[in-house]
Amino acid sequence: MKVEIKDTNDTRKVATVAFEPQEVAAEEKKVLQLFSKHAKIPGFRPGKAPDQVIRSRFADGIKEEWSNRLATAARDAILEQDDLRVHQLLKIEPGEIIAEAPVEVVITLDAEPPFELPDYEGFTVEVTSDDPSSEEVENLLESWRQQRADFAIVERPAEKGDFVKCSYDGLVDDKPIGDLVPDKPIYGKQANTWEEAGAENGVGVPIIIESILGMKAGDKNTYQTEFPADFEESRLAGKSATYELEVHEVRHKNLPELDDPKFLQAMEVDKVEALRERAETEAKTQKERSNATAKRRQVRDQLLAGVDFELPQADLESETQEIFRAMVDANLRRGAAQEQLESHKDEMFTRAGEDARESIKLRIILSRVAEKEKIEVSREELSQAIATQAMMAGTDPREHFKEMQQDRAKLAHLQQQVLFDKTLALLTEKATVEIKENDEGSEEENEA
Amino acid sequence: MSQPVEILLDSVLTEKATQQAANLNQYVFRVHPKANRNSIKLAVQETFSVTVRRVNVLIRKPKVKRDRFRRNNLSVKSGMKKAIVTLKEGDKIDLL
Repeated sequence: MKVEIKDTNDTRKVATVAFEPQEVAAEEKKVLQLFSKHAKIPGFRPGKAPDQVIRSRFADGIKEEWSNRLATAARDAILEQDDLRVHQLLKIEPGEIIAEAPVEVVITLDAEPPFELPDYEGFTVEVTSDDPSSEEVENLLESWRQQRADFAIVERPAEKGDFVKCSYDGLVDDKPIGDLVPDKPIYGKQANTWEEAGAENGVGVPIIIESILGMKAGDKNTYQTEFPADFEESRLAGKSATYELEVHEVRHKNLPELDDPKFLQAMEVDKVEALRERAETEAKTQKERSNATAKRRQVRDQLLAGVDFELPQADLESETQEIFRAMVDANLRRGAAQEQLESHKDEMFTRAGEDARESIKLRIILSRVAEKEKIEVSREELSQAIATQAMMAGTDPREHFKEMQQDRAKLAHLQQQVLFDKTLALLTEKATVEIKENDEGSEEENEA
Repeated sequence: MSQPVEILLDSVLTEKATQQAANLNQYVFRVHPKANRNSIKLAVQETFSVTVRRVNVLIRKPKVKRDRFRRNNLSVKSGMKKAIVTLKEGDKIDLL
């Protein structure tokens, strides 16, 4: 058997595996033995029919099996090549098989490109200190107060920060806005909806949010507005609208005091000091988690920036398609209209391509690092990953385990994922950590 | 019934027949019930361009059997006339 490899480009290669006549004959003999053992031919006991009879009876099947065996042998020969890191076999074309003649099998494949691993032990990552600042603790306490706020009904006119139950109906050129933007009912007609009076950067119709300030329960009014030219909903941009607004209820948001006994009981502490301690502990845990994520992200970015190489084309195409499909599904689930998705199709596809590029590049680099560092996935780690997956999907871990065992491709994919996570964790551990001041850190984390 | 095609109805392809062909240069045919050794010899010589040394003939009588595919009802396994033809050394017939 002779293997010859020709490069189409850095990643695409065409390999030709040539089999000698003796090798071809040997494969044929094995196939004939296989057929003879199982063939039922009248007049012959199983395994006793002569080769000629088998050949004449099962010519097509023998040829097919013979061809498959040669293709498999060729594939195995390619995969055994040390200097060729095969990514994906794209096409296997066995040549014409004639007895006692050489046969060539042509295989088109994508291989990993040659590249030098960057120095992955010299990364530096910048994170803030795990200890939370007093501002962060106060923010956490404030968010707990917000979560446990109560809303008391008031008879007075609504003030900024109050929550108002109202109904409204909008018209543009005497036509209901709901007909213009049926996929976004928030701009058209709403009944008994809650709005925060005077909210800045609120979601919804700006005129409604502003107008409910000063209105009390039972008030009705009509308002004119003009949507700005750069309004987020392009179908309404630059249009004049009339809204009929009715307020049903005004509620004032009361935040509990930190020393409020009910609040302390709800937080399962008995003193303010204990509450502060708990806030510090939780803020620290949150910071540690976010710092860990930031470190991994920075290591990942430096790894990607450290080296450049061509990516296997077939992989890139299929990954882009998969990411694009996932994007479309996610948007449809969020309620996006088909027309909207069509209009942003190109943009989404470009973004999917960029994400695919990063993902494949990272996978290739991490697999090389894992090989160099001899990182492996143990059975326990794999079982743990399956159990975690089952928990996130809300299924029985034993059922999920059985399902994974039956689907080898899924199991291999999960194993690869665990390996890459492990490798990235190792690189993050090896990185040098620089602690930034809390102020800079919190700004960057907010941006992240 | 003088044409070889009317005399030689079929070749018999069984384990024993292939062994006879391989080891003893004998070939087995199913022949017309009225064919005799001479006509069989001539038919084989004409059809395959070989020289026949000897012809042995046997008649398998019809047998009554129970057919398990027809509710064990009685059926007849048909009889046949078989000719075992021995060729001259060096001659061969490729039946496959």
